[in-house]
Amino acid sequence: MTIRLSGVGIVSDMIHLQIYRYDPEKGGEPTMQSFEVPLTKPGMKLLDALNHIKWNLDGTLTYRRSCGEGVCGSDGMNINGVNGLACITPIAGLKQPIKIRPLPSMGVIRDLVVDMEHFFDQYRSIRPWLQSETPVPEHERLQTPEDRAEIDGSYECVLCGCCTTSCPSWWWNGDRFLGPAALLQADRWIRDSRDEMAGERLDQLEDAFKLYRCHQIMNCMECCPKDLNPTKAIDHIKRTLLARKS
Amino acid sequence: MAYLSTDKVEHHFHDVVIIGAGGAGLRCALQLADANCRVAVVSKVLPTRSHTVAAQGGMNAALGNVSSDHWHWHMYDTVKGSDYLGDQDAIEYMCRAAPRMVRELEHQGVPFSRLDNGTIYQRPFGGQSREFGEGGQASRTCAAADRTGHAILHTMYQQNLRAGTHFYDEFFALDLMMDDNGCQGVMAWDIAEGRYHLFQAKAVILATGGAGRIFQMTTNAHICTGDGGALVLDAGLPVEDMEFFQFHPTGIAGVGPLITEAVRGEGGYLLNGEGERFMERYAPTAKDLASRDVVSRAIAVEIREGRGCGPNKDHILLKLDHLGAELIMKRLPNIHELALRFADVDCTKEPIPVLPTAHYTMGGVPTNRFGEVVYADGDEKERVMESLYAIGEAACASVHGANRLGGNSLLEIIVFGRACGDQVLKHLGEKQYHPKLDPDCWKSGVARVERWLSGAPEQDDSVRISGIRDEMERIMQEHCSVYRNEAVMAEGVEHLERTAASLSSASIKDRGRVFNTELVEALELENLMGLARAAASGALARTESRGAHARDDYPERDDEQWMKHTLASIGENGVKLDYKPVRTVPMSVDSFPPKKRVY
Amino acid sequence: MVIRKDTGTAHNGLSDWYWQRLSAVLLLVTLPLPFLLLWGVYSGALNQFALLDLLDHFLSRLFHTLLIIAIVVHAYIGLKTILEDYVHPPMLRVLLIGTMLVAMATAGIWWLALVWAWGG
Repeated sequence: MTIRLSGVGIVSDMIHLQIYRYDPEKGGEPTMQSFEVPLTKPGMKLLDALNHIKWNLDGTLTYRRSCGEGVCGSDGMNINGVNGLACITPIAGLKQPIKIRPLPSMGVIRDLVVDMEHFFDQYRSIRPWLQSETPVPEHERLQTPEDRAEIDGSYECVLCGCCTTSCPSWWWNGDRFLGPAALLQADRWIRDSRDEMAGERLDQLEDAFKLYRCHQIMNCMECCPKDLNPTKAIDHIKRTLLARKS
Repeated sequence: MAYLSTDKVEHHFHDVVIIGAGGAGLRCALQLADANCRVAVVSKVLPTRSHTVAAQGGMNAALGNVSSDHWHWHMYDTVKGSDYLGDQDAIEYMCRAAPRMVRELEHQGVPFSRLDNGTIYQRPFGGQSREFGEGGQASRTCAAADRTGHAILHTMYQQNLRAGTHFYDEFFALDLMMDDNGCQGVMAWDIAEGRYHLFQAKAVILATGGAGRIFQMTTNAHICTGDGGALVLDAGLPVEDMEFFQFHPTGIAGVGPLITEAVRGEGGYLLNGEGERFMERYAPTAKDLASRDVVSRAIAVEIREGRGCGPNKDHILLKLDHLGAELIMKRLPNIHELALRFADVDCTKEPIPVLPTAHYTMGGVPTNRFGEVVYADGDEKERVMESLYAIGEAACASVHGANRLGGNSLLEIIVFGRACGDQVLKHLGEKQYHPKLDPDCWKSGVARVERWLSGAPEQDDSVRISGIRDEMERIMQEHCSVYRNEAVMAEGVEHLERTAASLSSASIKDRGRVFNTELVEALELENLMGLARAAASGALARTESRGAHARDDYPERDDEQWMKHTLASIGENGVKLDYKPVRTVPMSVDSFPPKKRVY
Repeated sequence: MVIRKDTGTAHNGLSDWYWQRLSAVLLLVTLPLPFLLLWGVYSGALNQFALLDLLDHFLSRLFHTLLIIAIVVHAYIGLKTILEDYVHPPMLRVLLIGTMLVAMATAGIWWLALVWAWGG
């Protein structure tokens, strides 16, 4: 059912996609497979095109998806060279043929599905939960709106992995460098006025590899589907470390 | 180790296995893991992908941070909102527990928005009142901007990481291991590896969420396929009140994503094609903050009578630009983003086109207020099924009755997630060892997968599962929507039964075992189909209008005949309906007797 | 991707970062000075004797020293970071960084010796 597209011009109401295919059970090298999908509605998103392929053309196409509105973070993939969420990426504005690959530098399980285990291990390693020693009050802890606003721009992260897998430093040293997503969350807890373990958190991060592999390349900020800025968060951690020392 | 009659199935032993890693499953897991149980959370997606993440507006609790409030008023609103079909003991339990639960969430790290005095921000939501409907609008919904579900789900996941819960991510539950002593475990399919696992446990908890995907237009994620209800149906047990399906008044027209009720709570309102704020006619007091079923019906009537918006007069507008960009970006940033992305509308300047969209499954696996699954056994209508529990949207406790109030679903998952955990802990003391299982108990679970993977290969003329799913969604959308009537539904039920039968001859192209998502979609379709059949048949039989179930041919509520819960099970002869009474007696306060619902 | 056992932190991140930035600030101040001299020579404002006088001046030698130290520190940390980025076997990495340190320190000392005319 696939249509080869060599030298064929772009038909206005058809979308041309080239999608990375890899099936470990069949073996062999990964290939790029071409598909042609009708543009069914204005504002059509890339996930709609993938669903069209899966449901009408080729049921073996494999990708993750869940909410379809950009809050669950399932469908992170590399779209024309830039990481993003398929469900909120409009087809209009993408250069065709749209080249879709799995998130870079990740182990591919099948087609566009990558192994997220190490990513979540790194998330867990920053102890992403509220830690405090003061006994909890009878009612809620009080927090001023200003203190609460400190964590705007970091708690919204959906853990899709787009930023971390776009970071060259993480490509080279992903085994030790925590990557933008985990560091953004580390900063979220350092900033949260209710958390009492900022010192321990900073101790855990003060390492040439865990934190300081960030060379401010800013791919993370460029591609974040939620418009967050991990580079800024990493810089904030560095400054907090500096302030603590001086 | 193996005493199973196969070595293809890996056999795990846990104290408790929880199916589903949404808010309810994770809250329950946390309760158990903190009590040093060996808890396994089996989820078909990574936990943070669960649909709780998409909940927006907030969580109800009578904290009284903004205006004076009391759990009893909250209870009254919930009973009234349920159109008197809710079980009042469960509702009392939930509303009383609410303030403590919200504060506990705060202590666990949920980044709630704050008032100037540092307490948790609360906003008005639909169907909320003070002094039993006499004291005007209440502000009861605790919110983290308009990302409350995301904030709660992530916090629950974080707390479970702390507590050391065992996660089995991307495992699909296939079959419950039932014997004379109740539920002994669950068979599951490891999606990524393509292998079978048997999780034996002293308690099995279904926390699988709703079944919104039975409809064509839904705010629900692709994963909301009612897997828990389907497992229960497969085990020969009934599901409850499936005909009550909430249509949220404000899904983005033609696309689906939810625009939270918080928009109207913050001061937004609905406009018809004539620019009229029409809710004033339907609900003179509460106006746009009437209960969801009321608002959805009003929109449907406006459109039906030719007062829709747009060139086709097929939607309604939600105006919020008068709130000002600053408030919108502070309190409703996610809505701004969604409207921009899915409706191409900058909501700080223009209204958002909206339509009633399938949103919430009020029905589900029947349980009591401890999360224990109950079933009808002859005259005994609420016999407890040992070791089997259900919580959250998958369950029907029933705190939502015929219509859920906005802000009560996040509350339900936390309250009953915790309550269920406590109840399981009580019973675990009596069960020291895992009993011996039937050595062949794995077979039906394996057969469910092998039917798709090893069956006849797909032919050019074989039925595709996507075609069947489209058909099912279309039937439910056209025959079982906001307004229903006998003729349309009867036709729908007949179509649906035919479509369901065609599933047995369907096949899939993908025969691989590693991450076969076509297989997962096929299994999900099987699950959806059972629940759609239960919903359609239950709706056809219920000759009254109550809550979300509104019929043109029976426009009035009929408390004489129909103040009872539907129990639908599926046997060889199709859907079988039974009924059980509503629990009208609360735990400690007086019952709220049915009266006419006016907003 | 290999998941390594977490061996804690080496607590060397901040000092590297700190010296890297401090040396950058020093460079910002001292690096333009030689170019200023060059400009002076080429514009004809400085003849050979004036230039030598200027170079021999104590303040000039002081700035020159600061410049050398800043260059060595900055280049060492920068190149060390690059080696850490790309050279993964620990022994090879230590060897390369050590060699680089020796080479740079030697060059720096030799340069300082020229500036202060040690032994001459």
